[in-house]
Amino acid sequence: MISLLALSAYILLVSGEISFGQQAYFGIGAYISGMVTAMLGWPLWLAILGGCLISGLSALLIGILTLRLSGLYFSIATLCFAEMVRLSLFSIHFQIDIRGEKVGPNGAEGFADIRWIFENDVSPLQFMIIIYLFLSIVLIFLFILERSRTGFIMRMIGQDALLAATQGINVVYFKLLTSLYAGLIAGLGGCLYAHFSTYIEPNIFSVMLGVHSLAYGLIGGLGTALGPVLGVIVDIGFLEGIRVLQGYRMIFFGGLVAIILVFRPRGILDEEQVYRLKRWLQKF
Amino acid sequence: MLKIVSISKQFNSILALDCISITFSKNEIVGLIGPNGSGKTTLLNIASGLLKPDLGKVIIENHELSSLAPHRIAKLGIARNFQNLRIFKRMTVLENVLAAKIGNYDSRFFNLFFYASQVNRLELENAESALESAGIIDAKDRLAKTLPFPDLRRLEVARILVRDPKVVFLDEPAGGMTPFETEAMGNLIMEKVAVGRLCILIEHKIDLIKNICERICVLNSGRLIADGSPLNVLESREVKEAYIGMGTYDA
Repeated sequence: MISLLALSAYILLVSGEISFGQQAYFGIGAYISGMVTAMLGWPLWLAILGGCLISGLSALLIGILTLRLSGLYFSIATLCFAEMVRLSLFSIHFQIDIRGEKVGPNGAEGFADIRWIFENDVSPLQFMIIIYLFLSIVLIFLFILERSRTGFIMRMIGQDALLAATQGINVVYFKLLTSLYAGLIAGLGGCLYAHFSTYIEPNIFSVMLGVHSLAYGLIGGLGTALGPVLGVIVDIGFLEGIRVLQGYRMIFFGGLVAIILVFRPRGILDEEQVYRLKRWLQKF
Repeated sequence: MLKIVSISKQFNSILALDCISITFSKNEIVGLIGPNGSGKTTLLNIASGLLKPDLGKVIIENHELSSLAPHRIAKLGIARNFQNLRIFKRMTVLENVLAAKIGNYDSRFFNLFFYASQVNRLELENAESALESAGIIDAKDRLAKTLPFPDLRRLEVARILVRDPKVVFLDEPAGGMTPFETEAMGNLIMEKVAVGRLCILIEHKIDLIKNICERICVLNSGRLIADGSPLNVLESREVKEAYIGMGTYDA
């Protein structure tokens, strides 16, 4: 699920923007889909559809509002939006009675009992398979996207938006398309997260979640969609591997991030590495 | 074919362009010269849509350009390079040239998504022949940022060629080049770029201008001070005065 958020941050990084606000769409997806299954009692696929759609649309809206911003200003604006979403989740108390129990988001108390997987007898293993299925669908989508003209144009805009414009590219359209895709993917991650953990609260969707997702993209590499996934594997593997260090492990983690960013500012699988790999593969 | 009608542009308190009007016709190579800060690049940026003029308009074949976004202007067949080089550094040379053409295609969603970026044989051949013309076909699979500087200037020219534009703006295409490389660039412009196109060339190297331009326009502090054949323009008193303090103008 974090991989999905990392992929969402990744496609924005490819198109040249650093967003600190992708966790907002993750949160929106989680809350909406939770409400759909727990409060309305609708099936999971409708919840995912609704969650993705609403996160995608809000990403598009924020995309329109931040069109004129770039660099640091874009990052700050997205961060502000994400905090607005998180703080307003604190004040949403919207519960209904279902069989004598109150269900629904309850401000700081969080949103408990999203019990779709228990009600439908889906074992955690089965749900993990569903999650990996969605992750592979998104990855396949991104691979097709990268090979397509749209993906090529996204890379052009990421490297030099002005040059892309003088070559006949409608930069505004493609920036909004990228925001929409990023919102959809983050929203999907949120939907799955809500149903996996059965309990969500506003503070899960804090800035740190967004920072981690950015870090995964930046560590794994911006040359291919496999980069962010590699980033997640490296990070989680590293963090779990040094659990013996207990409280100090985050310090080592920070050091690792710093070292990678100094030596490979665009990640392990950056464009040059991908280029070399492609040439190497062509020899066979 | 291309008409610049009383264009004015002000940056804060500085009047960069003061009511400039020039008319260009088809198949001309026009040199645009002037001392530093005289407004040459500003004029070019306005004509290619990167800046909006305060007053006046730019008209090409009944289209008014000054109200259009840069990508629409590009689609009308106007191509340019950049004084300080703009290249997609993390793409290969061939990809850079393909990128120049990608904006010309139908940009409906399904077409964009289901066509892979490089499958079309014809596109590939076009791009390769543009690189061939520019003389950097050998470097086509290298990453653009590993190319030496003069070759990057040539890459910009290849990128213009592949789009087959009607109007070409060249902003110091030989900037930072040795005399030998400059001459080669001059030949490239004469033989490949300017054929059947209107070509407007900004350059400080007067030799290059003298060799390839049929007409010269001179700007000085935002005003057009001379317009005519190279011989007349370069000998006129006003032009000489504009360059006083910068040594002789063919230095």
